[in-house]
Parts: sequence; C-alpha cells; structure tokens
Amino acid sequence: MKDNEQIIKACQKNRPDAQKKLYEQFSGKMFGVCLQYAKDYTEAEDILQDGFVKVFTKISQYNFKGSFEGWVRRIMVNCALERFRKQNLLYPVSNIHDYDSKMVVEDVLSEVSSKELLNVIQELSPQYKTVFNLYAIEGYSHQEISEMLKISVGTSKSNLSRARVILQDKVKKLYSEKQQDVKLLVK
Amino acid sequence: MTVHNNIDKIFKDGLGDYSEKAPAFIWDNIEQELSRKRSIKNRTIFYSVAASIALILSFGAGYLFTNSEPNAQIAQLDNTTRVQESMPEKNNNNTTPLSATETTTKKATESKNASATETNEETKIPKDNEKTQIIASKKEESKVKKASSSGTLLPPMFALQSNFDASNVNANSYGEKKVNENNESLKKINTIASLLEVKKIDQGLIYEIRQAPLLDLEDIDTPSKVENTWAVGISGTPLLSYRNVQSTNNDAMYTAVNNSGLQQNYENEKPLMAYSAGVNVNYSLSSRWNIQGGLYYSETGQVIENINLTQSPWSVYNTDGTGEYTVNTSAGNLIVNESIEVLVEHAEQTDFNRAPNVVLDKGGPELIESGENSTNSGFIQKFEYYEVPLIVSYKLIDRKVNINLSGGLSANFLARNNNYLQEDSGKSKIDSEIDGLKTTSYSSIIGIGFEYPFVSNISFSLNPTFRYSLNSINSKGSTYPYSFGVYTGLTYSF
Repeated sequence: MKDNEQIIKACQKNRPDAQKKLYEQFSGKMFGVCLQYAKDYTEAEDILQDGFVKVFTKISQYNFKGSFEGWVRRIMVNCALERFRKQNLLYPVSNIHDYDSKMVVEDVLSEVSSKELLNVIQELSPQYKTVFNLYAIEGYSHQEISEMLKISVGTSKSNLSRARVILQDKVKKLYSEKQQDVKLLVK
Repeated sequence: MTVHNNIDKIFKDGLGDYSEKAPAFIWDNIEQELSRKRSIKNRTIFYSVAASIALILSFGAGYLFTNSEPNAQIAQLDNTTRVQESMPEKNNNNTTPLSATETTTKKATESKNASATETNEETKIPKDNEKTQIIASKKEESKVKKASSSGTLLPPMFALQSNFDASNVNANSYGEKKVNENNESLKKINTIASLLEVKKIDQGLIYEIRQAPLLDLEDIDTPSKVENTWAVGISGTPLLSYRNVQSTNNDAMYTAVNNSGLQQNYENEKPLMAYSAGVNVNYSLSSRWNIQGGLYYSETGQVIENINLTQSPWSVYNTDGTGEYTVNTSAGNLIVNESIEVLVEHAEQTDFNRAPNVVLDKGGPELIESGENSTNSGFIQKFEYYEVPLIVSYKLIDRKVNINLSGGLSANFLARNNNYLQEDSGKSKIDSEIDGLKTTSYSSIIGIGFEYPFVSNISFSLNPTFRYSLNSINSKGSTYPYSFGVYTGLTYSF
C-alpha cells in the first residue's frame, strides 16, 4: 500500500518509470474490465489505452481518499461509456420480456470459466452489456445508470432484465454442454 | 445440483477479479501519447512565456512611443473637436438629459436665474455635451475604455494621458470662460474622443457616431476598481552566477594567449554562489497586470580554480616576484598588486596543454620551470552591484496561490569589486583591480512568481528569476554575466 502511494505520487510528478510500474500493476485487471464492455479485443485494447492516458493525465486529481484501483476502474468504465456514446451505440431498447430466474445452476462457476463468461457477456448488445455490467458488476443503481447513459430508469431496468434473460440462456446452454462432456468422459 | 436464481452473482464473482495480460504494444502507444501530450504542454508554456515577453516589450515600446509623440495626440484630438463642432445642433429641451454634467448645468441655470448672456453661454455648453452624448453613446468604445483601464487592451496610463492632454487642448481651442468651469465634463468628452480613433474627418464619421447606441457616462466616471493598488515587499535569494564568454578580449594578455596558439576556454572558471536581497514597490495596473520597481544589493562573480602559469616569450608583464602580476580571466585582466611567489610556490608542471592565466616574463628570474604549470591556488572574483529593476508581471492564475510571469530590465551600478586568493589554508582578500571593468550595466529579467496570502494583507512570494546581462562586463571583451535565484519574500499590500 505504501509502495503504491509512492508510485502514485511519482506519477503525479509525471515520472515515466513510475507510470510504467503503475501500468504493469493494473493493466491486467483493467484489461479484464475493458473486455467486459468491449465487443472484441481490439475495442478493449483501445479502451485500455485511452483509459490509461486519462489516468496519467488526471492522476494529480487523485487525493488518496478511497481505493486507487476503484478510481482507475471508474476511469476505464467511463472511457468505455464515452466510446459507446460517441458511436451512438447506447440507444434505448424496448420490447422486453420477463426472464426466468430459476434456470441457472449454483455451481456454474466451478464448471464455466471466467473466460467463457466473458465471451458470453461480449456477445450481448452494447446497451444490454453496459447496463448489466454497471448494475451487476460495478454496483451502480438504476438511477445512477440512467444518469450516466442518459436513459430513463425504466429503460435501465428493462435492459437489465433482458440482459439477464439472454445471459441465463447462454450460461445454461454452456453449462449443459459441460455436463454432457463430463458424462461422456465418465462413460 | 442446486438451482441458483442470481445470474448477477455468477458474473460478479466470475468476472469481478478477472485479469488478462494486455498486449505489449498498448504500453508503447500510451507512452507515445503521453510524450506527445507532454510536448504540447511544453510548447504551450513556451508560447505563453513568449507571448508574455512580446506583450511586455510592446507595452514598453507603446509607453515610449506615447511619451515621445504627444503632439500627434493633440492633433488627433483637435481634429475630433472640429468634427464635433461641425455637427448640427439639436434642441436642448427635446433631448433627454443623460449626463450628470448636463443635469448639473441645468440646475445651476434655474437656481441662479441667470442673465440672457449667461443663458446663451450655458445653452452652448449643453449643446456640446449633447454631442458628447452622441459620441459617447458608442457602447463598444466604452467597453474598450473599461478594458484599457483594467490593463487588458491598453495600459491605463495611456487613457489617463490622453484624458489630461485632451482637457488642456480643448480649453485652448474653445477659449471660453465656461470651459474651465466645466473642465470635468470636457475631460469626459475628450476621453471618449481620444478613444474613437478618428480614421476619416468627414461626414461618414458623423454618420457613424450618430448610428451608435447611447452610453451611460457613469461608466466612464467610475474606473474599474483595483484592490490593493500599492504594495511593498522585501525579498532575497542565494544567487548562482556565471557568465557567457562570446569571444576573447583584445588586449595584451589575450594577444599573448592568442600568440601562444592555445585556446583560452577558461576551463578552470566555475560559477559562484552568492546572494541578492532588497526592497520592492509594486503598483497594480489591473487585476492581472502589475509593475514593480525596487532597489537590490546583489553579489555576483566567479571562481577561478587552479591558476595556470606559463613562462613564455610573449609576456609583457613584470613578474620578478615582487611587483604586480596579471591574471587573465573571462571578466578581464585581474591586475594583482602583490607578489606572485605565492602562486609560484604552489606550481607544479603538468602534462596537459591549457591556456595560461598568468604569463611570466621570459627575461625575469627563473621562478618556475618552462612549460605549463598548474597551481593549487585560485581566485574568487566578486562584483557587488546596486540593482534598480523595473519589472512588469502578468497574473496567469489568480487563485489561492497566484502564479504570474514577469519580465523587465534592471540597471546595475557597480558598488565594488573584491578579489580573493583561494588557497588550501583559506581565502584572503588581495589588493587588485580588473582592467576595463564597466561600472554600469543593464540586465534583462525573466521569471515566474508564486504568491500566497497567508495573512489578510501580507503574502509570501517565491520568484525563480533569471537575469542575463545585456552588455559585456568588461569594455575590452564580450563576457555576459547571468544569474539565477529563487527570490523569497514578503509583500505588504495597502
């Protein structure tokens, strides 16, 4: 923690060696965050790059209150949102169906890898993916999401519901395939 | 297998700490982008400094120009007055009184129950005032005036100057008693007239003036208030001084050096750390522009380590061990009225080929072996100056900590020159003088300042300042001293 503080302070003085250290420390995790929001690797790489440039140019504003990782993560998420907003990908989605909340098994996580979950999430439409990520993973409320994405609270809720339905279907399918594989192996 | 109804949890747990190695080229791109931003930032700073210097120079040039051509202003004002006179008169009764002066004049007329003659005179003046209203109605010009009085477009002293000149000129051109009584109103008239910058003296201008919207003269009466107009301060700094040698001096010693075929680079000269301190007086021209004068006592100089001695056939100096000898330095030839034996005792032959600081007489006693000799002795040259700086500064950032850029000139008067012989045992002052040393010099000043008001009227200031001499320190050579110091001080604002 103390080391981190020193690196951040050195970054605030624009020292390139410290910037590299900070990048090495956080780039992996932040690339993971970018992948959650991006449609593919190329887009995630772009978001990561923009995000870190912003981190280093705005790092003087970080006042050591609250987690630094949280601060960097928020910048990455904002970069992703900014990108989608520019591309006009955050359009309202209607015709939402209720989802069945009893379709996913408890030990999915032991069978399905993070990488596979990431692939599933990447297949979602930008708006569903963004709302789901912000709500389920980042922990924002619908009110906050509606302000961030300039959509109504109702749209945010319906997008989340729709995203959940799609994700459940896909995860269930993935899980079933895994089970089949296990059974075949046992035989 | 239990049914799980929270898809959110699966993804939160599964992806919350997900990490994947980013491709290496991303860091290269980030680094490139950051260095691009850094160079843009540096360029912006450079341009800001350059722009400030340009502003300061144009400010100074403008001031000199204005002072040297007062007649041009008078001529311009005369022309303006003529145009005003040629304008058709309006019925005073039908005009809504807008100027305070006009209202006052009317009141005076009523209360005094003036005679017919007086009435005529008074109706004439309001007519002039009426014209003024039309002229003054140029709201845009009013803004220019306001801006100029706050120092953003024109230095306020220009406006004041034209105001003053204009009132005198107009008093002469009208030649009427009442004009003097209404001097204040005429000042207003001419202030506006001077701001109009008459381009063509024809009907077109009158049309232009008539078309302009009306102006509230109160705007002109009340100049924008600048708080804490005057301030005094003290400041001081450790001063690192050195010099830039552009070419060798053209006197006997240098000729000897040139004849020797050795290039005199003054490699054994080093910067001197001394000090500077003094008082300053500040005047705020506007909320952002500030002018500063002061009196400082500064010590500059240089250190000459390991004096080189050479016994050569070119010397013209008497170095018999008892009389004077001359040490060649970049500041000029240091003539020492003491025995050279001290130096010679410390001399030892060296292999390297360096230009000599002291050339010994060929025909004199065999003091040292022939060839290049370096000594353990050195000299410290100190130049003490009284400096009178004139600095203009511009406040870049006006927050809790103010940041300003400053530039200006300083006249420096040599108080004394002391030289010291530096040996292992310590330093001792020597009886000496530098041949051709100038007693007056001028420096350019550039700096950045940080000011923090820690008590209501007292502020702490920090000013990293660089000074570069505009003329050579010695009349016989081209050596330009410069210095750098971080002036730290306190300023009291009235």
